[in-house]
Amino acid sequence: MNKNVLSVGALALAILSITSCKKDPVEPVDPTPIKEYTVPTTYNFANTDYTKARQAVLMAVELDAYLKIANAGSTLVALDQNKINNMFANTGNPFTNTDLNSAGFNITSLTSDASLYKAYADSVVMFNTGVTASQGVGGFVPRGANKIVVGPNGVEYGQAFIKGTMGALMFKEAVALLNSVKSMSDADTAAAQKAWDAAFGYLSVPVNYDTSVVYQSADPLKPLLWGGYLAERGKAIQAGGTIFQAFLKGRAAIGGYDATVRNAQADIIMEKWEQLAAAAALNYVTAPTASSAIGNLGTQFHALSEGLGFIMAFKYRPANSKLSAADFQTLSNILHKDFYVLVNQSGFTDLVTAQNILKNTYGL
Amino acid sequence: MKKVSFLIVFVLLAVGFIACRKPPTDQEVENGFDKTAMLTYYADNIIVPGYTAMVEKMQALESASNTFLAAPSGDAQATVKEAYKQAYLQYQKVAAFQFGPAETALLDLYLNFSGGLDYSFTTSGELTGFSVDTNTIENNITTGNYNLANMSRSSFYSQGFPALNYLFFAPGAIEKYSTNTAARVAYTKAVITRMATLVNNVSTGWTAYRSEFIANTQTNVGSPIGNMVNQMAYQMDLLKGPRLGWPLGKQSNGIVFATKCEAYYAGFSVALAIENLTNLKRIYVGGEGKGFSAYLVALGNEQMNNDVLAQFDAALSKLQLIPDPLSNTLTTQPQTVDAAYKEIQKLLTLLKTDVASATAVQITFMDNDGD
Repeated sequence: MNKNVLSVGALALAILSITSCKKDPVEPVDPTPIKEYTVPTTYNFANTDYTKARQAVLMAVELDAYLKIANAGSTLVALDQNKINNMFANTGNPFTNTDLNSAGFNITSLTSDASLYKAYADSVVMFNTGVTASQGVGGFVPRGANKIVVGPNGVEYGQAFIKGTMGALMFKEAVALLNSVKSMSDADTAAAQKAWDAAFGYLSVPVNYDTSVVYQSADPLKPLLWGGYLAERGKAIQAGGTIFQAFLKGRAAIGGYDATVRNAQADIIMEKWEQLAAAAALNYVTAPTASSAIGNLGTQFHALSEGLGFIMAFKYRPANSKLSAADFQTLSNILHKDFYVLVNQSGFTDLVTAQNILKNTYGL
Repeated sequence: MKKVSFLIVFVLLAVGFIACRKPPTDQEVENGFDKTAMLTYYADNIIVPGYTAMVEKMQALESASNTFLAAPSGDAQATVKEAYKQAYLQYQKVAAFQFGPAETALLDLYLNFSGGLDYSFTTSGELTGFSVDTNTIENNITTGNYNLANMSRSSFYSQGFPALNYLFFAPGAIEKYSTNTAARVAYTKAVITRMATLVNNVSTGWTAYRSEFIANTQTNVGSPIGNMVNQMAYQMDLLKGPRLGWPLGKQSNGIVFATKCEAYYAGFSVALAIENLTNLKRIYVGGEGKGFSAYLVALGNEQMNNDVLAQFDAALSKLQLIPDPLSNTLTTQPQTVDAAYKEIQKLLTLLKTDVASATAVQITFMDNDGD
């Protein structure tokens, strides 16, 4: 009996010691006492500044808008490769918003795999020739009264560029910033607030973001890119409310030296943001299989190209992501296939495989 | 201790209360209206019998077709035309059930491709609306090298009702069977066999799907009620666009596209449109107090229901004034077609906006992507 108690005790001690060995090495040694703080309802904090993140978003939005000029109408609208080069490098005052021209940085420097996403944008120019696209031949595919510009495999490179940039720039930066905050000491509030604000800037929502508001396209404060996707594809998973709340709470917690709450909010944001990418990707690998879209290559390729961009975002997912490396590879392989093949597969085998991975991994 | 047990009771009560509060759309019975009974009525009285009748009409068409193909003649052609018309009319009665088994089979695409709502008559070339891809059909006959399971526009436009329309009823259709006869007969039979097989699959599929259909009383995306409202609105959009408005020139500054009428060569486009709309009303009304009509009233939208019913009748009465063949009427009496178009447009708005909103159904079939 005594022996049993003893061994149980030894076991418990052993477990305890193992557990204590697993302590996060970056946890602050001397935690500052938590002081009282309140979580506001809008992102109005005394020293908030996310100008650079906001400007990066605006640069990408202007590039996207420029590339989309080619889509107007059914006939050729020429694009200027030099202008695109300048927008990527921020040289020669390429932006309509003059603040961006003097921002002192360019999006290339912030984007992972920047040359790939630049190549996507360049491909829009390359295939903007007036030729009607067919399998193996890049060119125009009608979409409604307008058109899209696709490559030989049906990829609408403009969408691969902008949705890919949302992953390789905004999402990647936000994840890096939030992780950096998690590793900071609770007393280091200035650095943490700066990083936290920048991450918030990459979400691109107004400081008084309200999920019940339908933002008008003329509204200068309307959500952009990821911010727009909170409503466009994230309603069913409450992405907007969850992420915005966590940003408010985490930012307030930093001021209160409350690292536990701060870190929990960072995790909530990263997990929900990644799930939002998955919800968007799921929509775009599902929509092309509906009978209302089948036979309409413009609709199908547009969706698949967006899907390609969102799938690429998972390359920059947090280390604790639910998505396994093998499943990411499968998704990536599928979205890199010839779109003409994907939309003509009996039973859409590949797209259904992609749907199932996304559904099962992210509980969608 | 007393306080603790009080707290426990309170928590239990709260939990019980929350558990009882289902969101309204999950309830089988909402405001005294039994949604399961409604779906059961649709399945057993409209959908399943509709597909059973479709199987029978396809058998009749196949039989008439075989007689014609064995010895093409004017008389045999007339018999085929009647069987073709009956099958086509029956198809209009099930066209709005493009979900579940029909969606799995992509029935609407393979039987009666409408070209989709995003393809413009003016900018997207020949293969738009209710077209027939005669080049591909002739090429398929000549080469014998085709796969009707392909999911491309030229594939959809070279099979189903549109292909038969051309093969049986285009000018010189009978004479064409005297050249390359075996191949032409084989292709015609392949088209009919494929139609019959797909219809059989859908009809059989409903045996298993029925329980899933009546058990799900939600109204979210992909739910039976969501699908039915979406499909009613989609068929209305097809009426307004490819069936009537676009051939009339609504998309092309008044330039008429006569050859884009549904069943152009057979010449009974208006009959098909009337059957389509009549059936949409039948779906909306249901029967025995079980249908969207009664559901709307139960939800407190009596006036809206009255408006919808009146608008169905207004649109139908205007549609009935259009003489077939529509391809001629488009130029001889464009104002008659336009009058029907206007009523259909009003009805579409009611269904797509008001009814969808009242039933909390999201319309999902449009390519409404923000960019």
